[in-house]
Amino acid sequence: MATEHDKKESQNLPSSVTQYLDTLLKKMRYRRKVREDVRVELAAHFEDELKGCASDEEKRKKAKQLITEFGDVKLLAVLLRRAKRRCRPLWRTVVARTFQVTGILLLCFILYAIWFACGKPTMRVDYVALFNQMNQPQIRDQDNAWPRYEKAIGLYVPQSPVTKRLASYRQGGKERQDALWLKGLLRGNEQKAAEWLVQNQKHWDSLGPEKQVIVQKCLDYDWVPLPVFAYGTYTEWAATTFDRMAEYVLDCIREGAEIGDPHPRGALPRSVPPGFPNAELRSWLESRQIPADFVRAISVAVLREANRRYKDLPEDIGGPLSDVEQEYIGAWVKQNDAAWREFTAGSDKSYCYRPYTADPNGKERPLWSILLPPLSPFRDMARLGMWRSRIERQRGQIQESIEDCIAIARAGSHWQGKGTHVEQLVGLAIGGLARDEILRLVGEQELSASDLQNLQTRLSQIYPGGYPHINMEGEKLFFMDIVQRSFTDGGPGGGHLIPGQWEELTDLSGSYSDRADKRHLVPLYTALSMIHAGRDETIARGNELYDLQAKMAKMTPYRRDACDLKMPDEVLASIPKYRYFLIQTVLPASSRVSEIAYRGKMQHESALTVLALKRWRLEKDAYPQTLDELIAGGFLKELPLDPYSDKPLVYKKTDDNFILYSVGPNFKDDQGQVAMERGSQRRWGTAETGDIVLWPLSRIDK
Amino acid sequence: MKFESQLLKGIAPVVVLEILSRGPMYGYELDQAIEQQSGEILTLGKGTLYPLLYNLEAKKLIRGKWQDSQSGRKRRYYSITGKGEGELARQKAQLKELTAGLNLVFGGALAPA
Repeated sequence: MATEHDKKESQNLPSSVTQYLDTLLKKMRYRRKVREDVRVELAAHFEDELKGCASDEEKRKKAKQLITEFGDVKLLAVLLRRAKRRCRPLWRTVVARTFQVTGILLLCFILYAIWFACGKPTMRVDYVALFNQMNQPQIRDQDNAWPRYEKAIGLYVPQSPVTKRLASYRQGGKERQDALWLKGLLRGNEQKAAEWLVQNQKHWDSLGPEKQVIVQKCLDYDWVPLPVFAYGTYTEWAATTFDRMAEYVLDCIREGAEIGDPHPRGALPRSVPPGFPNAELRSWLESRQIPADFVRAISVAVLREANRRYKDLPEDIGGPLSDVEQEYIGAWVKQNDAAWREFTAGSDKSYCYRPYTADPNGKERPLWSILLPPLSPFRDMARLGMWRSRIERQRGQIQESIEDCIAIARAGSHWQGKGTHVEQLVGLAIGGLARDEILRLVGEQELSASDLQNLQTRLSQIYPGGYPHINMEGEKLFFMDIVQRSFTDGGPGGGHLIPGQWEELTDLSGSYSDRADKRHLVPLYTALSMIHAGRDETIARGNELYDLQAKMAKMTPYRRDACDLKMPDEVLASIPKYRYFLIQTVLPASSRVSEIAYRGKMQHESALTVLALKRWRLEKDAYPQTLDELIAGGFLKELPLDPYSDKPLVYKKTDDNFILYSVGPNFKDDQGQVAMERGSQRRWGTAETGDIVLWPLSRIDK
Repeated sequence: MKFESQLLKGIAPVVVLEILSRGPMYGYELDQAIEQQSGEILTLGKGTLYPLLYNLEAKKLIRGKWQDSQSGRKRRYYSITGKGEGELARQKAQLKELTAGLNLVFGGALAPA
């Protein structure tokens, strides 16, 4: 608003007035345009007042007086600001107030976010100690199996790669299918393969004994070294697996093709287990010791080894051990005699208790980082027992075979009904392994009535308090510990999820990524934490779900299906994901776990029933018409329950045998048809088709 | 004669409205007019005048408008609005009643000689 003329006029004012006006407008703290208007107006006032002064001195004096009359600059600035603010139009006031409120809210939010992000957990309960207290039995130390198991694990000698591979062929699955395919190829091309071996033996012989040993070592590790030819010489090693090479050689022989360079699977592994002759292979390259016909030489070794491994591989999983199985698996079993003695001594104990300790490397030692017992070698030991039992049966040592099966079953029971879900699942798997083996034993051998009774009695004594349900208490403690470590303690909602804990939570949920990459996610984690339910609400919802899980764990799959209750998994799927992210992350798939436990119970009861049926047949020369006869005759205490029908397992007498099955997860009686999935038998059935056949094994050991 | 500031504060808006009802004026003019027309009995502090003008403007009793003066300088001229005239009439009526009341109390001693 000030014109050039105004500015010029203002310059004539005494400096004290200019300074006064400057200070006044500065303290007024209002919009620049309004302040400029006020300056022009007041400057004009001063000019008018000073117009009549004759000299500069008079002007200065008059100006001083005027300034005094205008009064305290700060007070005047406040009065002017207030008055000008009142002059403001309504829309401007609304906009200004909106900005002010938004600013205040934003500031409050930033302060809240900082406070929120800086939250710290409070450790009130030592859940590791509580978990130990929960699992520690009131027994004497000498009744605890763990010291013996620990010793057994220490003594355990793992399988060599070839032994492991041979053993895996008896476990079904793709590896077994591949092995049977190779067996078919070997059998179908027996004549041609024999002739090819005779013709090409010279290539193998020309390698010399030292190199032959190295090659054989590679084959023992299931790798076939293939030299890569470039620039007129061999420059590098590649590799393929033993099975692929065997298939390649057999295909060439079948089609009468020349053995060329097979397509390698990749580079020869550098991080190989101890004993793999990597250094020797490398020295061959460096000293140019690889003969031109190396691939043919190695093909001879592969074909001979394939003949050894696969030619006599039994068609059914439970069939007698082949020579090569006896050689490798038998040696491995023998190596583990001492370990097995400790294992069986442990299995005789009434209880297994191993105190849980938090990972000493963990910063805060939470319950979720507790060190589980070494379950993998323990499970391997159970498999050792299974092989041991088979070898003993083949040698006619039936009593020893029975004892080993019972030892496995008892060892499995030591991990059931308590502890973590992982331990319980391992216990269930080991128990299942034992009962499978007992059924194979009963199927293969004509046991005496006393042997059968002994087996049945000892098997029934494994669970004196009844077959255990899945215990959910441990998992609930995990949840409580995670809540304790992930939430603040106190405040609105009992506490909030600490943004820094999202890294841990996403790691728990399996979304592992580089931690350095997550720094930029802090604002996102803070926002997610604000969305997340508070501590009290999370605990309440978690308790509700864990209680539901515990309730469901005591209901058979059939009852669950019939009562039309929502499964915890379904409840979980229906709640907002990010509001209950912690629960979504840590709550186990309990319905599946407890179903597995019911299957274990069914398997256990079916094994007892099969033993009772075998005893009946020995005594009466035929199987009974119904299972009720076993109860009436005192052969069995209670009928085996089918968790998928809540009725006894289906028993049908056949010509000289019987069939015992569960209707399976589709809750329908498919007349004992084993479930099929993608053309393969599925022993445990699927939700859509088939029954779970428990006897005869010939229906399922394919 | 100088009045108690609280007493003046109460009547200052009426005085300003009354002066402006006689024609538009800018701040300095108004200040001079109040002094002259009240026989130098009423004087508004300079620090009171401008906040008062802005407050009356905010209440829409007066209206400010920039205009060029004869000297070529821009000045903000204030004039009374319709609302201001209404308010002035109301205030004047009140003052009349107040004066009458005071006269009765003081036995006519407050009436002009």
